[in-house]
Amino acid sequence: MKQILNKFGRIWERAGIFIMLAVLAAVFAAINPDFRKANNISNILLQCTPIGIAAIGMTFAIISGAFDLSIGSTMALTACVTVSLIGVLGFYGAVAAGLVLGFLLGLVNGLIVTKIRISPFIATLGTLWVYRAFAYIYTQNKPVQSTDAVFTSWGDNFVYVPRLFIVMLFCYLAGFFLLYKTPFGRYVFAIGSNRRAAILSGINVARVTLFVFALAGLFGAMGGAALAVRLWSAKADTASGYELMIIAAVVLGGTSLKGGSGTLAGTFGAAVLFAVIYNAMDMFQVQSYWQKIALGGILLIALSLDGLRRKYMMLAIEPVQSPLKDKGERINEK
Amino acid sequence: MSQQQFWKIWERFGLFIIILIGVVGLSLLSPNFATMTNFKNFINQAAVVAIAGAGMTLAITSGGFDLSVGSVFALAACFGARILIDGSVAQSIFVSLVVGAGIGLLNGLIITKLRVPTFIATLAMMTIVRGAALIYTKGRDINIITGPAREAAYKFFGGGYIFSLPVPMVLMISVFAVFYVVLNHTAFGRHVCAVGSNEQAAIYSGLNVDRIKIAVFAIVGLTASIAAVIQTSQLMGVNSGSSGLGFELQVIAVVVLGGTSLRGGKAKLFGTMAGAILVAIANNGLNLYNTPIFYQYLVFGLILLLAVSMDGLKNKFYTPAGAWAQRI
Repeated sequence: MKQILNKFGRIWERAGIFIMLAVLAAVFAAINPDFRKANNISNILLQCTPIGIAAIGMTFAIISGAFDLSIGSTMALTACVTVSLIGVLGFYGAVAAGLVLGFLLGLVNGLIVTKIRISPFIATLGTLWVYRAFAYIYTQNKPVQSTDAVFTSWGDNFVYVPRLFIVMLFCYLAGFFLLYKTPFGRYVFAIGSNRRAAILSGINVARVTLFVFALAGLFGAMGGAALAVRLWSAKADTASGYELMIIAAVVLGGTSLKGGSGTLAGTFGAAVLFAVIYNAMDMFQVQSYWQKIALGGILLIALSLDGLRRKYMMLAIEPVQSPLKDKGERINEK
Repeated sequence: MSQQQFWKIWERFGLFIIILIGVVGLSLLSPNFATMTNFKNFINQAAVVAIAGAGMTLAITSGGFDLSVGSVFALAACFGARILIDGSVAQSIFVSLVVGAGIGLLNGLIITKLRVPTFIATLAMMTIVRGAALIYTKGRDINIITGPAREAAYKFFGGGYIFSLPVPMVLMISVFAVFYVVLNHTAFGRHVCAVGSNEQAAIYSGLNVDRIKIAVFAIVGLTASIAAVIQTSQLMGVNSGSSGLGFELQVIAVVVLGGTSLRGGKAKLFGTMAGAILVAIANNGLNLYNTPIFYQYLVFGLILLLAVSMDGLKNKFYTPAGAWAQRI
């Protein structure tokens, strides 16, 4: 019995989020025929893009033991700037400008953290308000819109798959490459699991941290652009409260808030899971107030399963694995 | 004055010096600042944040924090307002406080018994409790319209005077006095600090860490609901959707502004009060000049960043002997 439990715990650790996703999707699809229509599925894929893309940068940040609470404000500011510039620079130019802005906003966060030595939580808590205020001041609290043909066409499907979702896949590919195939990615894991050891082993922790924040800002800007494409407009109060949703998605995907372990695939699964749940609740006409309760409840259940698993299998199970450790073992086997 | 002395003085009195500069500056700039009505305005605003901040200081000292205070604030206000319409003032306040403490207790149980990380547990409770408040009021505003005697009695908590001092201010000072005694002169206070500075060590030294944490979160909920009572009594109404929205981050920011370390173990209780007063003064100054509300966000963010920057610079340039190893 104990062995079965342990085995289940191990599987859950690696693929829990996808099991949850599959079970929920199967249940919803079985109950409601509308849910499994191609139209609705592409709708879900579209819904998950803003949070899904922004969560990539957050995954890097959380793995490195940091936080970016300013991500929602970054998304709002960059979305407003992007939409307002479409008339001037064209859509692609405006998106490029938004991405540069996002990168710079992230860089500012990183500089505050590394140069002035403020903890990431507090630094980005401060910039959360500052960036949000910039968005209000920039737009003078009026919505910005655009009917540019290229802009609106990015909300369309490419044979049932939303073009934005394809963009999101490419973002994840880039994220995978950075996190798992480059020294930078390994440094991110190293800093998150033991900051002091990382410093002593010669990693330029300040520079890596700086880049992690810049990356969070960059993906935040990408998510902001996706949100603007979905809504065809942007407002200064867009994406308020997203910072907490995004962190929740990353944690639900199995990334530890303590840093040092986590997967991008899990984050991806969690972002899709959120969209599935929202979509299903709309489909079953759950009142928006009850949706809040359901969402919080699901978050609690998912993480208390994890917490209880840890509590009862503490001795039987190895600590959460990071790809670093995997690699080390493989080298040893050879 | 050497640099060492400067940072020492800054560490102790920095925030109070800034408040003093702000008060003197605004009094000189605006004739409307140094009036009794205006004093009441900003001290009322400060009291709401500071009282919730006292609870949050305790939570952060114990090594956690509570993201659900904004929603708890809203739910306690909704229950209190609804019950006041048909019931007595005492009933209304009692229910508000019980709701706050009860949800805090639930937070604590989820964190300790289900082992959900604090951040996620209180985040989930934030959306759940907000949903509950919206369902309870069906998304509508509650305006307190009831007997004139009851209205007057309830208004006392947000707008009355005791010895010509505004009641919110008196409440704030009493809450902080109680917290001061609890933190510095009781075993419970020491245990909270112990859990915050090293949870493992606290467990090994025989403390019932779970029970301490549960108590801490119940207290956070309680203070949030006291703040809700004051606010509701000032507005004589509540909107379940917007009441206390974003309050959680504001409260955490004020605690941090006051100098309490997010690493836990060290409380700067009166720093929290000073932080709340500073923010209230800044907002009040902006209001006097009729600036749009979003400039308050900007100033709030900048104050937070500047204050903690000074702290960061202090750590860089002034380190007490023997602490060098912790600098990295």
